[in-house]
Amino acid sequence: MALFLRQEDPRKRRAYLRLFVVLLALGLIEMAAGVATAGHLFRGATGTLISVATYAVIFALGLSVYLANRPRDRRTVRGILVFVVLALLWIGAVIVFPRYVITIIAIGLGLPLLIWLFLRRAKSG
Amino acid sequence: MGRASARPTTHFPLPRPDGILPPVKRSPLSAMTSTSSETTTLTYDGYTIDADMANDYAELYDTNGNLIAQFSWGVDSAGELTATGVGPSQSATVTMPTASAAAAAGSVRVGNSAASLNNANSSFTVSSNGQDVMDETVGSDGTATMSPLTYALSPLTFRTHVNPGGGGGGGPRPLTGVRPMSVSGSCASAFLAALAMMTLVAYALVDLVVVSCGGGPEEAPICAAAGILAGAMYQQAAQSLAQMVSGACEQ
Repeated sequence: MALFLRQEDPRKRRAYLRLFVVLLALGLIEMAAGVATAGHLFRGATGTLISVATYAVIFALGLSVYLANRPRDRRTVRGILVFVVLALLWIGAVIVFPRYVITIIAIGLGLPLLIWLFLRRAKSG
Repeated sequence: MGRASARPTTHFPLPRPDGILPPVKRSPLSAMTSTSSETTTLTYDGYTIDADMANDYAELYDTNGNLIAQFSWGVDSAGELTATGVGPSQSATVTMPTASAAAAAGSVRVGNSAASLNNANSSFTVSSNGQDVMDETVGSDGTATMSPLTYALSPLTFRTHVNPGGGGGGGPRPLTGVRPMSVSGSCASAFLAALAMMTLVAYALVDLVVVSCGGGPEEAPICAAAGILAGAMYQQAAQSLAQMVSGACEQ
């Protein structure tokens, strides 16, 4: 069972389920349109637009989860600012750099960074 | 697939003794007919060109099977040659004067792909990233030869014929940008597999976002990194699965 479905709070569970449905619908639309246009959708300006839309949806999901789990204090506001700045920087990079560069950076750097941050969080308890 | 070992008899007018082709209303580019088939496929270094010579139409695919550009060309009743190129985000049209204008030349560029028309030496060339991937020339004997330039395959020989021209039916046909595909068992199963994969990926990525963004005092950078990673993986998955389904449905 997915972690988000094991959430005890029914409101959070519903919210996470909604996120899943939105993300799945986005992916299916993207995939179907990619098939229908023989890959046209993923190329050129349309491809960049689709990339930006995908990242925007996922960042919005992340921010909503973040807000749902944080008290309304100054640290949360600072966290939101950090998140929004990083998200905007990344969306800018998606627009400027070619797709393969973005994918290499995202997976090549994002994955180790995420692992490192998780380890640091685990150590700090 | 339209490859011929022997050169066929041509209807193309032979050059005069001075080497100049007679000024007839025709274009070697507009009406090429394969000797054995009207449709042919050329491959070069992973690129594929599906050429429908009877309909004056060619599609260029990259190494991943993505449609890069579509080209069509035709001659109107006045003998004017028009070529149209359509790509994912651009389209272009070039018009050449009558075929008898020996110096006429032009090219259509769509992204990194181009179709060049050169009536001076009766050639039609398709290139991608500056690399010629297909050309067609009319030799002095009146036969037209179309070949991938690396000669990885035997050159294809086509018989030219005079384009009737009249009736205004020679213009480029409309391009839809969507490649027709048939639905088969493998196509349907690929689509179902892609649906299942997409669901699993979405499932995992929501988990990733929930774990990264919920709980703990300093999650903002983790949450952003998770969003970046999830976005890249999700888009890559959608693209790869779309290519898988496209490939299965084209077979």
